[in-house]
Amino acid sequence: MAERIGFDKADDNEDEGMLQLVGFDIGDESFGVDILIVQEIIRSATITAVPNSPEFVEGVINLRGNIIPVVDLRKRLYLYTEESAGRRAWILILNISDRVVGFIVDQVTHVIKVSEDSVQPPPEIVISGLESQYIQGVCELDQHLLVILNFSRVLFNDEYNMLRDLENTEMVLDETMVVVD
Amino acid sequence: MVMSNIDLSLLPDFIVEAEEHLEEMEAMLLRLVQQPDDLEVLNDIFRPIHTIKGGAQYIGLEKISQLSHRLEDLLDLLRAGRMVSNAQIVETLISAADRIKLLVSELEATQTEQSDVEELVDRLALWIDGESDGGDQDEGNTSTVQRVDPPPVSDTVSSPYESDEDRELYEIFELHLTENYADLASLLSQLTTADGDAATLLEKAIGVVESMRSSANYMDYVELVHRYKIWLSDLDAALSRARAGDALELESLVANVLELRELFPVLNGIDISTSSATTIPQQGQESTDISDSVAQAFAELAGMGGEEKSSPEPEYSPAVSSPSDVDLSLLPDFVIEADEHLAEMESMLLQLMQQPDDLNLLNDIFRPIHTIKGGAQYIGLDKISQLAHRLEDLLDLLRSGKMESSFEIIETLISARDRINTLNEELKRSQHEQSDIQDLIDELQAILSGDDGESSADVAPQLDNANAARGDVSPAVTVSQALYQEEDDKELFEIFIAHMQEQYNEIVSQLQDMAAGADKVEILSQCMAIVEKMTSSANYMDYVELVQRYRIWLNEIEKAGDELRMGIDTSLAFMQHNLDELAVLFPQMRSGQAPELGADEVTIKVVVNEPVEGGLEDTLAKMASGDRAAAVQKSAAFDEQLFNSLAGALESSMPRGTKDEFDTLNQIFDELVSGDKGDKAKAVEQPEAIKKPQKREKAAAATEAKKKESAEAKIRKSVRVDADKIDTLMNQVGELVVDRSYFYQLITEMRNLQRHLKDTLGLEQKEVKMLRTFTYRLGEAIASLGRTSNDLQEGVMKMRMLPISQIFNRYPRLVHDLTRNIEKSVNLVVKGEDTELDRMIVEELSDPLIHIIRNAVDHGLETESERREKGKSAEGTLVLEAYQESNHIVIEVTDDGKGIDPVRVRQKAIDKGLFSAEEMERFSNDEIIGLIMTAGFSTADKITGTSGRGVGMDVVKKNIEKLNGTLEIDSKVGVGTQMRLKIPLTLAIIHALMVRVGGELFTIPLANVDETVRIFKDETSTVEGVEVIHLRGQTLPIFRLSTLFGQSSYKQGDKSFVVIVSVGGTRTGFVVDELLGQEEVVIKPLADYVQDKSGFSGATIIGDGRISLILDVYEMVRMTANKQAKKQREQTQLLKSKIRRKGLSKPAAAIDEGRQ
Repeated sequence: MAERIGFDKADDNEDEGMLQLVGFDIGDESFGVDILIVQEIIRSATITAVPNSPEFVEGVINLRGNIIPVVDLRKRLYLYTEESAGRRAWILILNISDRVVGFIVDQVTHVIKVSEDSVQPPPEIVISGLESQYIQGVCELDQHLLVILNFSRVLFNDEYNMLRDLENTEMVLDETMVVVD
Repeated sequence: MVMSNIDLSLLPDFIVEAEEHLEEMEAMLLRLVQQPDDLEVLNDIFRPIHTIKGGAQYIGLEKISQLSHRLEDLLDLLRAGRMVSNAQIVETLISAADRIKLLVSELEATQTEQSDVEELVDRLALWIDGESDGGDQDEGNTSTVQRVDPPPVSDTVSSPYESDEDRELYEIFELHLTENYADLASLLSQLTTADGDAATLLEKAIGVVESMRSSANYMDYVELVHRYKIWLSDLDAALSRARAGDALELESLVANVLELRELFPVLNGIDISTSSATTIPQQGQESTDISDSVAQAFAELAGMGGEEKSSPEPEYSPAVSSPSDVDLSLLPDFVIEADEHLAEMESMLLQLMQQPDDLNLLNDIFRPIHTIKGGAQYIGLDKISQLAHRLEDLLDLLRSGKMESSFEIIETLISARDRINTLNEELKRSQHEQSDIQDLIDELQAILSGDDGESSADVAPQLDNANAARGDVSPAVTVSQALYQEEDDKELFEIFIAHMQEQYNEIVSQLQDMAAGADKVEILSQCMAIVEKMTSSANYMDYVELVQRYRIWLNEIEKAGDELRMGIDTSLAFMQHNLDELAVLFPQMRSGQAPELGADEVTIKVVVNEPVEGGLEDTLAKMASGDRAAAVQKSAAFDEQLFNSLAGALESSMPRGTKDEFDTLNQIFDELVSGDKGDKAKAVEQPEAIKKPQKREKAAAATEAKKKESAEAKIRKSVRVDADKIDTLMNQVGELVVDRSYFYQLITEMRNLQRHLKDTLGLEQKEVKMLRTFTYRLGEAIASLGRTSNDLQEGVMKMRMLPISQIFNRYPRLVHDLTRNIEKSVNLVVKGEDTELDRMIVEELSDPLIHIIRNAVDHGLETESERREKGKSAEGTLVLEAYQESNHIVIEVTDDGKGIDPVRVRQKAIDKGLFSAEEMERFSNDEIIGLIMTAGFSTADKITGTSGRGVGMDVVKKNIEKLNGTLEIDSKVGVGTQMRLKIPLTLAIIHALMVRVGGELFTIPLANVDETVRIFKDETSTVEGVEVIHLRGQTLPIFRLSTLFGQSSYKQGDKSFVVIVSVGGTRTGFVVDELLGQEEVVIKPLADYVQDKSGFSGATIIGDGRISLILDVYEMVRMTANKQAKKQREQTQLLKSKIRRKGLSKPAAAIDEGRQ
């Protein structure tokens, strides 16, 4: 039921100093993610919504018996680009420090090889509303800017935690008020 | 001196084991509080600490080993009864154990020992010193100087050293020390007089100190080793200075020597200046110097252990490796560990075949065998330790490159490993080492001695043969040297020889005394003591054959002594014979005086000495042949009664001459020695003093036998598995369970299909039959699959089970700590600690139980005086009990304290404004007591150090409910309180109610579900914006899950279902669209950021692969209540502002009322 794109990891060592990335698009932007953390890419999975979960969590899917959360990368990164309508989304299953998470993207393009030297630190200017903290680096590719994302930041960033803490304190506040009342 | 060389590869194992040992120790220490003089408890504490020490030393954990060593010393004093334990000592012991625990946890986290142990070591030392040097306090100047030293070595260290179990060993150690000390002294004096090359002298000195260090290491004298190390570094520094041609600073070196002398007063006999002439001390010259000090040492030792030595030790039986002294309690652990090590070795040995010169590999092989040896020695497994020791020797040679490994050598190594394996297997079966190892020992010996190059391996016959051919000792001459000199440690060998010479001469002089007419019996027992000493020093050197030879000799002496005592003249020629033999084996002995026996010695000879086994028959034969009267007469002074009955028995039985006589005799002997069935001959002949130990032996044998039985039952094979692996397996089994329910679903569909085909398509009977048969078979297959997967699920679940003792064991300590500073005494009774439940649950239960126990001790149980006033026993009882009840585990915590007073709870609830007085009227007592589980509720009037902060029971309740468990409280004022926790056996699989809300399926744990009801639209009403239903006179709030989940409900018809759940004593209803029935579901966790505050505790995969979220009922109700409260607040705010604007006062009262 799920299409998968396999990657031959045998030729990893072929050329040193090269970065292999899986390229994907959201709206008009091109992104890349290190191939080593990509576990698989699937399409057409039944997503079960989880009520009361953060807005960017689209839900959970059943990946061969494991329940994997699926994050809408567009919402997570606050990318206000138009959704490409009518296309089936792709789900990139990534393994980020032993947490397996699915990310919904518009389209997976191809595997890109770039030399490590060509990757530059994130620019100060914000790329289409994307905060630089999520960016590991950028590189020029066919007169196109490819943004390499830092997914561990995407997954566990402080802002998110702060948000949760805020909610928590609010909860505690509520509780005390109940008692006082 | 920084000990960074911790062996990290062994660390994880050490940590795991140490944790187990510490836990065990803790329990024991607490028992010690109750029974401070229980020797068994002390022994039980000693064992784990000893193991920890051994492991820590092996790995190189300085602090732990130092601390545990001290602990051991202190425990030793307690065990020996030289010190009486009191509360403070036990507290010190506990805090030392805690510190070790802390160090272990630091090791786990950082691989380093961080916490400081100095202060505790000092405290322990204080106890030890306080006992052992008592009067030494006045030696102010020496002790203060030494106390300042970084490792707190004081002159008192030597006393715990000496108190160590093995006096013989200590003796050898001391001899070694004396000798080396003399060497050092002479070297140093040469240095001071600038006699010879300073560098070479220093190098020699380093060699000497190193050998001293290794002997101290062998004796486990940590501080001493440490001191030697410092010394060595001093010497190293001096050496490099000498090489550079700088002037030497000898003060520090001399100071070291002096310091050593202070530590071991024995060394006082040696003066630095007197031994200046000798470069490399020769034995002969040396002996005069040392003899004083040795004599002094002996005198000292005799003073200390005189009693022990005067009575012969009961264990010199010739039986090789008698299993009697095997420590059975440790055997199971040893066997399992040895298995692992042997397996490890095997693969490495095979690898060695390919790479015979791989040094790393050799090191890797060395390690397990070393561990095995250590364990075997500790437990007392002679054969394994012997074999392992030899293997170690051989590997050492290979490692150091002194020998090249060949195919044959590796073959031998492998077969030796196999033999150890065989022995290990035998241990598993029978707790005995059965297989013979002599052949392999010889083989290894041959290889080892072949290395020496002096004698070829093929001329090395076994000493056993030499023993057999007793008269013809000549072949043994060459062998002996090969056998007894090849050992790596020359120093040790020299000491051994010196020691032996001493003993040899002593025997000779004893024999001369005898010839001069001294009491023979007396002299024989003296000789026996000497030979025993020789035996143990040979044992120390691991000279197996020699030990056997000595043992035979001992038997001979014993027999002769017995016969002499009975008045039977016997030959003492064997003494001479044995001495001769020894002199042949060790030509060094010749240097002593040639022993001469007086001429009249030979004339005593009447009967030749015979083997022990023949003892009785021979005695009987003698008596029968007319000696009887004489025998009886002589023994009259000895034990008249005994011999009268013996004679009587003989008279009655002799004529018949049948085997019966032995039976009769046996019987009589049994009577006489009160049931001692030991050696028949010995029983009669031994004096009272020797009989006693035999009885003890027998008693020991009896307990041994008992132990053996239990050990037999205990040895079962176990495997250590990574917990994650089991979790993975559990997940897969969960999948299987899901698949199974999918199959069930399919078979139902199949049956429907079959009906459909038959009914609507009108298939013929024949065609339908085929279909029906297939459906039937499919059903059978699925049922079988179901059974198997059920079994599998159960099996895997059992694998995850742990005994609840894991956490129960922590609570005695908790209670101990809680009651330490208050006037309460609590007897904690733990029952059913073997009850098993899921690993995850065990951990989750720990904290709630701590709360409950704290409450019970702090609030429940009264103080001693209060209890006495009430006529209760001063000591409160707290029972902690666990048992299984169908699919649940029940844990009860019962105290016999004052109970919970409903009146006070009620008042508190009203004071806190939780309920109005009128509302409270409707509450039953149980419901009132249930209020203590409300958040922020505490009946304690003041906050104590341990509890009363208003958090407690609500947290407990919450945690228990998280586990899908329940908490019940039963309390009677003045009688006590019982907390009853009911928890499902496992967390991984729960019984749940499946419901549909909108298009999604949700799962509600059945543990939380009280009931389900069907309601019609007109049955609900709204109170303050909350929908409620009336159910049997009770008003329940209901929440529509579809609204909570932000879904639009499919059915807006007038009929819906309400699932009534119960949380923290309050009931709430959840409105769902459809009830789908009960199911067993496997819980799968959700990622934390998805699960947090979502009101779900996980998810499960249902038959068709879809995901169903599992409701966290507690969280869901709380969230909903919060939302509701918020909404109400907002409304109130809104109303208030409206009122304020309008300036009206009247409706405000109404609002206040409405908020109630």
